[in-house]
Amino acid sequence: MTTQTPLVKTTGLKKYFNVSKKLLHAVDDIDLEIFPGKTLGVVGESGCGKSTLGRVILRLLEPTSGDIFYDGENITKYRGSRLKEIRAQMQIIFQDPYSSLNPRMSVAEIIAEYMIVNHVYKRKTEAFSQAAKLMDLVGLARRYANLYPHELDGGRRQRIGVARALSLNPSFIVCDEPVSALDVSIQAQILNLLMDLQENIGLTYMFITHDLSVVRHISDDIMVMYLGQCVERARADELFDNPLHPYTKALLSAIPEPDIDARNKEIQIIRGEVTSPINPPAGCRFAPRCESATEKCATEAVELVDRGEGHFVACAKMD
Amino acid sequence: MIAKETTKEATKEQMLEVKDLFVEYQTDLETIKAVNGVSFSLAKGETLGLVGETGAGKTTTALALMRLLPERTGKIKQGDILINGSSVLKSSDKELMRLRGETIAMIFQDPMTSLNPVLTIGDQISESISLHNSQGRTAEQIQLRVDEVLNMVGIPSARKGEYPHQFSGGMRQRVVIAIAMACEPDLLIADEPTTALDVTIQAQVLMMIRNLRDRLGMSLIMITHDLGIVAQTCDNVAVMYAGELVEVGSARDIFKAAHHHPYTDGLFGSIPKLRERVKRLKPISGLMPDPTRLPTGCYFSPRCPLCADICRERKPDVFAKDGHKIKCHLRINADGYIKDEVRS
Repeated sequence: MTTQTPLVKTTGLKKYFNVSKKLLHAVDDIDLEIFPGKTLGVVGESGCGKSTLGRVILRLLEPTSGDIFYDGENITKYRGSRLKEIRAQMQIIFQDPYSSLNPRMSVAEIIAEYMIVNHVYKRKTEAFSQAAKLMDLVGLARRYANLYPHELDGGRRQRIGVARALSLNPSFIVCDEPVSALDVSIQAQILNLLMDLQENIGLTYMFITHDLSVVRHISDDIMVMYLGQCVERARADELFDNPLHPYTKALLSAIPEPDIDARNKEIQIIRGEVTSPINPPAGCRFAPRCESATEKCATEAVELVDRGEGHFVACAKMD
Repeated sequence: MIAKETTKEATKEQMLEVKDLFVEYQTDLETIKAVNGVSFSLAKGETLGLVGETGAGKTTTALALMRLLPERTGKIKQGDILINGSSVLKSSDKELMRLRGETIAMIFQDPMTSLNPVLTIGDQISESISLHNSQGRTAEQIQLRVDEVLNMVGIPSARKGEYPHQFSGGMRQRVVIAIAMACEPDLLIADEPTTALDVTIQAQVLMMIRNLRDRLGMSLIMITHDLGIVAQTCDNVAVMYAGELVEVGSARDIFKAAHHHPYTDGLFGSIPKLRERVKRLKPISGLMPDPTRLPTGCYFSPRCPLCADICRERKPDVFAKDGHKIKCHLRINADGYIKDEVRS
């Protein structure tokens, strides 16, 4: 488990979308490394590009530029059967357990679908018996096999999504807000399931979320994104104990803590809202909302710099 | 359950009293027992947090307060709701119209669906002002009031001619709050007001609601599933499960007391901690009971880790200590908690 090659690595990854003759910078120059058996948490507010990043890594979207490495191989240009092969090893769990399942397929059909499509087994019955095993693995009673998604609650539906993602024996799973649509008690059940699976099968996760307490709980490393860029990246505990970027600080201070003694803590409320990702200015993208921004911040691009022990921060004020 | 009545608070004026409220949704196929015997009261200027998961009956309780339950299916089966001393259940339609908007205002979770997409936000705010125009404002004065309200929620009044789609999610929620505030209600019901918003915007909106509440001396019912929001904004808290209040107390009771309802403990065990790292969360096993077939005995018993025989057989009484009330059989011998006679 302690190989030095990261399972997933990106260098200078960019994804721009064309919108009415302008460019929307959804993912802008992201470098990341995820080591086998570890979890990288990606946090940020809606529209910061975290879901796009996940989809580009899975090659569900074509990157504008940059490279994606999977287990040391550059998969950026893979096509056809090689792409299909690599995709089997990388899966995704979606946010909404309602719209991500085909309402006209039964639970067993949904879980067996990937195996049938990829001809993993000679006969369909084998795929279905494997589907039943997967249901045991994710804690879904086998009696649900012939029900349809609408007959189940959100938590059970999300377990179907997990079972389906596991069906091709992947090593890497992108979890795109898998618990955001669930109630807290159900959310905890799914988080425990994901962590147990990681421990037992050695899965590697990229966990995308906007919920900071969830991300600390599940991640080894955390990357904070703002308008398509990584503003800070560090070990999970380090990031929470010692946030350096003004945006990370504000984000952490904005979480209402379930602790009555924290009631009078000073909240740094950041002004304004996320600016447009369409043709963003050259300087720091957080500058218009930043309390300590100077003129330099608005005009000069900021680099992501290691501030010691793998704690990367992109802020000109750090110098 | 009647909220805290210590000597200090007994003098406070109760603006809202809910007594033993039962609400059902009846369809041809089934009867959904949404609210099952809820009692609480709210003093002027007090903030009550109503906490619980999806389907606990929080929103149904709030809608019942304003008599906004769906006419054909939603029925108040039992109980009474008193607002400023008079019963809402006996009010005429005309009185209800005044109640809604003027006395009680409500903010909903999703700001996009609660605004009319074809009216400018200025029109939507002025609508509630002119409908409740007891001061006899002229058209000009109404427009001045619209500007005033917009400034209050931090939107430049120059934007009042714009449509909802021209605003971001956080700004839309401010518009919704502006409409609710326009007639200076005595009670604001905020139903998950920040669930659809990002954390930084949530912090802005919560801060604004708190400031407005303090400035106008409103009472506030904050419906939420987020214990963080409860800790930061509420004076008193009611934890709701399967249509019942399982625990009621001051915020300090809920967060600090030694004894809790097992459901409250379960909620706290389910949330990941921000300050420390726990190896594993302790979720509540199972699911909320089907409201058409509620279990006998304690409604929480099928999921309760402490469930005893009595829990499956008999409905629990309420046990109270200094206003902290827990509806659970297992509190019988807890130190200082005695059976609450008011409710039995």
